[in-house]
Amino acid sequence: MPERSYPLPADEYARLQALLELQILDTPAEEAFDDLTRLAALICETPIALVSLIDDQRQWFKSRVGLDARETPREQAFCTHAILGSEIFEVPDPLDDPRFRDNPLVTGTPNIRFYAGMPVSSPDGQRIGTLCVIDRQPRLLSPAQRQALQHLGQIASRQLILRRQAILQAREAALQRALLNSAGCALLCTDNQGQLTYLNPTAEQLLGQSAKALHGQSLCRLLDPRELQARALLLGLQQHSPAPNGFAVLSAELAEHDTSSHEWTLQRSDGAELPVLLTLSPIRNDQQLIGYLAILQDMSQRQLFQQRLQRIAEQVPGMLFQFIREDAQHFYFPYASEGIRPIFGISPQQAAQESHLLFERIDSEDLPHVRASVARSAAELSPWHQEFRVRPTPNSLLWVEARSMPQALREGGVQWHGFISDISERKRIEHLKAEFVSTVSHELRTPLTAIAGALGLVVNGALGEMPPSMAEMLRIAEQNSQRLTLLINDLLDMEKLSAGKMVFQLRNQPLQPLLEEALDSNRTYAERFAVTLQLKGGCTAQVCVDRLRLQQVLANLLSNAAKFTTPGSTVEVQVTPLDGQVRVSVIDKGPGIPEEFQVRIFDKFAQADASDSRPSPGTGLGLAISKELIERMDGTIGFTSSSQGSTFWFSLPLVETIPPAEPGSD
Amino acid sequence: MAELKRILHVEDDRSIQAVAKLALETLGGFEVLSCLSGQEALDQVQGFNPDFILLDVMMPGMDGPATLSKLRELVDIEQVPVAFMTAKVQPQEIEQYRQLGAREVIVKPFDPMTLAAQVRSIWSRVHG
Repeated sequence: MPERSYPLPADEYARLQALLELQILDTPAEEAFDDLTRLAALICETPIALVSLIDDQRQWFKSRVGLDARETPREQAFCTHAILGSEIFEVPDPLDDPRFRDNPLVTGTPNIRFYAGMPVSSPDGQRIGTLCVIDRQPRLLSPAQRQALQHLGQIASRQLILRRQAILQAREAALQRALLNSAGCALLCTDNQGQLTYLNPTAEQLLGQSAKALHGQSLCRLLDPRELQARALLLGLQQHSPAPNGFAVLSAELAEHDTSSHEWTLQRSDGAELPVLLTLSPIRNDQQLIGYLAILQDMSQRQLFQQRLQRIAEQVPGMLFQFIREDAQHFYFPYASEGIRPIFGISPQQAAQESHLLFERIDSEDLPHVRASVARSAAELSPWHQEFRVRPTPNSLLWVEARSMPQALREGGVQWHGFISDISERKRIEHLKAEFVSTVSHELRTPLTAIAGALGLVVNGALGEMPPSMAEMLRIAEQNSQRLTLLINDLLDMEKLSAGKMVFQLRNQPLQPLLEEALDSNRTYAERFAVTLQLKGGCTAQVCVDRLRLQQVLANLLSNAAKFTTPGSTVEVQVTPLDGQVRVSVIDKGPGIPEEFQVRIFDKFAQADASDSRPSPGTGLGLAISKELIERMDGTIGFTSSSQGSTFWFSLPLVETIPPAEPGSD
Repeated sequence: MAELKRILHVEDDRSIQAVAKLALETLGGFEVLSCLSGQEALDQVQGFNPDFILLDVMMPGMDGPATLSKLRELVDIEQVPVAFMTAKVQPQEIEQYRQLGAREVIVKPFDPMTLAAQVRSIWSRVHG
């Protein structure tokens, strides 16, 4: 590699970068630069003037006067020295200067004997070349010539700033063109009068005509004239002024708003009509209106979806809805089907804009429950299911049922999709059924009281001795009257529970005495099946229960176990603590519960195999009632079963544990 | 000291009336006057001069509580205990009956074999 014979500026790399970015090397001559070299030669009275740009290998002349060469190697260039400083670099006689004495440009053509170069800077301040003057005899510039050369050099630098701006603008324009061309929506530009000046390819496609064909046409001509007329009339009425006409119908709103959006019917040149959303906004340059930008969105697909949803919603009993709750105070219904009218007596639009109207129609007694259940569903993101009463008009009352799924929104808040349906008829029938069961049961109870009482007196010998066969028959009658009484009591309990009329007297109390009491009072019954009841261990658990209702549950589980366990075996009751809960298990050694029966064991009137010859006296309501009772006391109930036996258990929340009595204290 | 002899039983169902009368007379050895309505009880109470009154709650016309409030004008219920007989056993109802002046609520269907003993124990609580 030959030794480099010329000096380099400190930031040569950045300098070369700046030069390349101007994209000026090897470009044709430009008047702006040629004017500068002509002036420089004229003023400095030199035969040669150049705009020289220095790249890594050469100096290249953007403009030249009095010289034929387009470029020379860099090591020969005087300019490569000139760009080291910011002022004019002047060489009065190269033969006196060791740097240039042997330069081929001095010793040969063009026989340089004088050089003066003013550095030319790129827009970011890199000295990329010079404006220089050259003479074939030694001399010096006059002060005025020096000053002129300096100014001309600065003009050349400013010319480069303009050049860079032009490059950036061209890039910007290319980017905009690419954006417009590839945009998925139809973009149109108009002049101040609404005449089309530009359409992007999507617009051409939507309109079915080329930009060329549409150029100069009014934007209004694309829309349905009847709609324009109707809109013009409406605007006139709203503003108490004469109806606008022409493009003013579209631009009227822009006096007050930045953009305006309306749906129109687009009329294509081929006669087809298309629903579109037209969004119009003014294009301004320094506050000066220079035209309008129109965006056309094809709404036909959306219209199709809307119609589909509407038709489906019309066929659904009740109302479909979308509900958004931003926080406890802010909520609205972005969508509600027409079915909202008979249920809440308001329109879908009202639900969207004035959702408080809907809540005002909810029965005041139920409203707190509705609010609480919505809040719970939002907090847990659990399905919202609620039955409540509404008043669509001041004089009507409906029972409705709401079901919907929540989903958390990314921007915060929760959104539900679901439906609300009128269940008044079901409620009425449920009420009738409850009334019926309750009335019939009460009516049955009176004669039964007499039957059971009379038989009781006779069977127990209050009226004297009877023949054994008569006593046996009367005993059967008496036992069955007892069974009937139990059945009616269970029926009434079940009805009270379903109607929510059963009152619970909840009290914090230790569990152990309750269990002991239950075992004691069911021992006699168990003995009928030769079954022993046994309580395993002791516990200090404290629970919050209604004593009598818990006894009812225990009696049911214990009597079931006694009935179904192997005769002669022991039914065990176990108590196990369980993470804030206490579990009571009743364990039998019976044959287990048939698998097909397990799924409905807690259903009302559920009894395994009706054809089972095994005597299983019971109403089939016991477990259903037990389940309700336990759940009302915030507990859970369940079972496990195998051929070795069944375990029925219930869990109750622990209230607090009483510390065991200290040894030695009394 | 007072002695429990005469019991006035107000019950609109004749069968229940008969069972209770037999249970109380045969097993308790009491003298029982059965009335079919509240009005009949009001008409008879002073002539019969009972030591104890058993009152059905649900009766057509004048029900048990209404009968009791009228009876209080004719009988000193501090001395002559009144017990209601009813199938309704909601706890708040029992409390309500107590406030009306009833001493106890006997749940229907009652056990005829222990009815007399039940009555006697209520009476002795009052006159103990």
